[in-house]
Parts: sequence; structure tokens; C-alpha cells
Amino acid sequence: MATTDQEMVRRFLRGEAEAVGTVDGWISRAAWPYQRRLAERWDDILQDVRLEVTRLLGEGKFRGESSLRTYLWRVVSHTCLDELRAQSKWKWADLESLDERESPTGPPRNIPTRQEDKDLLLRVLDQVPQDCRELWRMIAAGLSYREMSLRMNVAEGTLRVRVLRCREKAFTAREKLLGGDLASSRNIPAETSPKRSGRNANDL
Amino acid sequence: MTCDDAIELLPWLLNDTLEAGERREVSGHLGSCERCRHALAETRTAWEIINQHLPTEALVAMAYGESPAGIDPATAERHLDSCPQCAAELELARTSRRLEEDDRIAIFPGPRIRHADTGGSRSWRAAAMAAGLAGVVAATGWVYEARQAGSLAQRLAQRPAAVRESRAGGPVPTGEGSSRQQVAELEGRLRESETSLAQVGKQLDQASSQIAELQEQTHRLAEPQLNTWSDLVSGGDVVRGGAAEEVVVIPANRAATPMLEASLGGGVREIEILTGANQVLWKASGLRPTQEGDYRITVPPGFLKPGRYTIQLYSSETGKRIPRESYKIRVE
Repeated sequence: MATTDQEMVRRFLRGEAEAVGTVDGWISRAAWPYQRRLAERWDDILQDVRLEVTRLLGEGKFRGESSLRTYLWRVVSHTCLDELRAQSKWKWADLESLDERESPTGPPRNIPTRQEDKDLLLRVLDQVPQDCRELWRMIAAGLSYREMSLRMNVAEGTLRVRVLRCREKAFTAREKLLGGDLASSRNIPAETSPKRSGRNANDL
Repeated sequence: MTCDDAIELLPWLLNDTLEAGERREVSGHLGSCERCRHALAETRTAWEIINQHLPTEALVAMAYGESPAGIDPATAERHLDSCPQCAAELELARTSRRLEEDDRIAIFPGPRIRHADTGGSRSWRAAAMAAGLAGVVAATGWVYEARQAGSLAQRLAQRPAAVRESRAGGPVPTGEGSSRQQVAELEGRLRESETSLAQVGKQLDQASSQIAELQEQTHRLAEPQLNTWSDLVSGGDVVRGGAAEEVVVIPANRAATPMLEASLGGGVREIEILTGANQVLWKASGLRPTQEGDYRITVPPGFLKPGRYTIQLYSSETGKRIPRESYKIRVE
């Protein structure tokens, strides 16, 4: 099977129509479930996948550890999932004028991307209560606080404080897991959230 | 605006849903308050934490049945339980994987359909053969028993007088004692045979009804099946109907499950398969969308002879049949 796959790769890279057609068929089939969600840029994405496959095969990245078809499936899935995420990524409001003046002592904007850091952050997230995640998902979905309060049937003030507390919980969870290293390096003030007075804590 | 008020509104400043007046006020406050700018940065960081997702390589590994590298599997599982986005992405990857593994599922537009075994159609054939065999065995038994019974009846008919005398209790000629005993024995065997024959008859009836049922199933299976389930739990991404100019190849000797999508969602109820000459070869109503919004039929092997066909969907509006998407297929 591996020999056949290697032969297929050679024929594909030589541009033989049959091999190109077969590989393209495998790519299209693997990519098919993502098509609706990526409809707007579908042709471009499919082309990106083909280019990526050609690049990887040309660089000899396929070593026959799995079948060629499975290898292509992995490439297609990676590319399409990445595209999906890029598409749904929350776009920050344009706050350029404020960003320029953002506190130099504030938390870093760059979140670690290394695998071990990812694992750590996932464990941090694991500590954040589910209702907090839901609240922030609504914000990321572009709901105003009025829409959210209507949807959740809570007072607007209560909702705003609840979101604020969730932000604090996320920080607390992070501090607990990361220890003092990050906090000290970032010089996070001990207390940054506002103290609310006159609001019933039970509302939260 | 106080710091408290401004900080509370920061998430909505970031998602750009504050009203113009609020936005102006918060922005103005931030311009002059370092503490609140720090809070803005923290709000972004909090969101980055809460917006953590499983890396795509982890999702791909999990879709392939492997443990995600560098991530605690239990954490990954818990994350999937609580993150609809990752769960949906994993399901997409799994659907893709199923398509990669199973060529029996035709897709639109479909590139190649390769040949492999049809376990599904084999199973019902095996069931039909087993039931048929049971019927044959039962029928053979019945014939054998019936022959035995016929033979006994003939033998009894040859001795009517002896039987009658025996029953009447009249004088029995000397030397006939053994005959009377023989007749009684034969009568007993006849009764046994009659009972046995009745049982066999019952079995035969059961076998016949089973065979009839299987024949009906076979007949039904020989035609395309509507609303079939194809083990694609949430593979909701199919090609929009009108866009599919490509011809999908379906193997003649294999069952195929084209997944069809109507661009405007529900409402499709009827389906037709038209020949290349635009004649209706098969039609059915009662089409229902799957949870993912597409429509599925399964074309049994051999139903379509090699050639070109069109699958045409119809919806119904105020009792009028409206043609919807059509898909071109080639059977080879």
C-alpha cells in the first residue's frame, strides 16, 4: 500500500491527470462537510488546500506512516478547521486610539500558543464556571447587555456585575494554576476590579 | 461616568454594541483613566482565556480516534462537553473522516465513488435466504408427513370391513386377533399423523407469511429508500442544490446514498428520478429533511442501469408542485 501511495505521490507531482484527479477527489470528499460553513470563501479555501497538499507532498512530508488518503484527510481537516476558526474569531472593536495608550503595566495581549501552554490554558478554562463561559460567549456573539438581560431575564445592572465577576473568576483560576510567575512578571495589581456598593450580592 | 460604570461596560465596548452615547462616555473616561485602561486590557485577556479551544490538531487526532498530543485527555473531554464550538468542529472532522472511510456515501458534488463491499444489502439477502430455507425445510417436512399419512390412509382403506367390525365389537374371525391389534395400532398412528400434519400445516403457514413479508421487503428494497440514515450524525454541510452542476458518479452495483440539499431549507416533499430522456423512472413523496437540513435517499444496487439520470426535488405550495433543486448523476 505504501509503495502504491508513493507511486501516486510521484505521479501527482508529475502532474499526471489521473493521479491529480484522484487526489483532488479525495480532497474534495474530505473537505465536503466544511463547505457550507466556509461557503463564502470556499473556492479559495479549496485552492489553498490543494496548494498546501502540493507543497507538503513536494517537500516529501508524506512518509507513508498512514495511507496517502488518510494523510490528505488530516491536511484537509487541519486547513478547514483553521479557516473556520479564523472566520469566527471575535473581531475586537476598533479602539486604536485607546490601544495606543493602554496601560504599559497591563496584562500582555499575547496568549501563549505553544502546545503545553494551550494545555495549561485549557485547564484554566476548566476551572471557570460554565455559566461564565456562556455569558462571555453571548458577548462574543455580539449581544448587547440589554439583549442579554432580556434573554436571561435579569436586570441589566445585575448582568453587568455578573460578567465582571466572571472576568475575575477567569483571572483567579489562571493565577491558581499558573502560580505567581506570570502574575509577578506582568505586575498585575492585587485588586483591579471595582468595588460595588449598594448592590445585593445575592443578585450575582 | 465613574470607573465602576466604565469597567462594567468594557465587554460591550469591545463587542461594539454600546449605544453611541455610552460608547462616547466610556471612551472618554478611558482616555483619562489609566486604571480603566488596565481593566480594558484585562477584559481582553479574560476573554482570551474563556475563548480557549482545543487546538485543531487535537480535534483531528480525536476524530481519527487518537488521544490529543500534549493535552490531558480528561481535560479535552470536559472541554468538549462544555464547548459547543469545539464539539461541532470535532463532529465535522468526524463526518469528514467517515466520508473518507466510506465510499458508499455519494456526495454532491462528488468526485469519485470507488467500489467496496455492500454489507447492508448482503445482510437482508442473507436474512431472506435463511427464511426461504426455513420455508423449504418446513415444506419438505410437510410433504414427508403428508406422504406418510396418505400411505396409512390407503392401507386402512384396504381393510374397511375389519375396521368396521372391530369398531362394532362383532365377532372376529379366528386368526384375526393380530389384525385387530394392527388396525388399532394403525388408527393410533393415523391420529398421531393427523396431529403432526396439523402442526406442519401451521409451520407452513408461518413460513409462508415470513416469505411473503421478506418478498415484500425485498421488493421495497429494490427501490430507492426515502429518508435514510447514513451514520452522519451532524454532517450538516452539503453543497447547495442549485450549485451542483457537476455530475456525481454512482456505482451501478452498489448502494449509494446521495445527500441532497434544498437551498431554501425545508418544504421539499417529493422526489423524482428522471432518465436521460427526461422520463420519470421513479418518484416518491414523504421526503423529510434530516436534522442537518438535507434530504437523503438510498438507491439500491442495480436499481439504476448505467447511464445518466437527474434527481429532481419538488416542494409544494398551496397544493401546487414547485420544482426545486436538481442533481445530475451518472451510474456506471
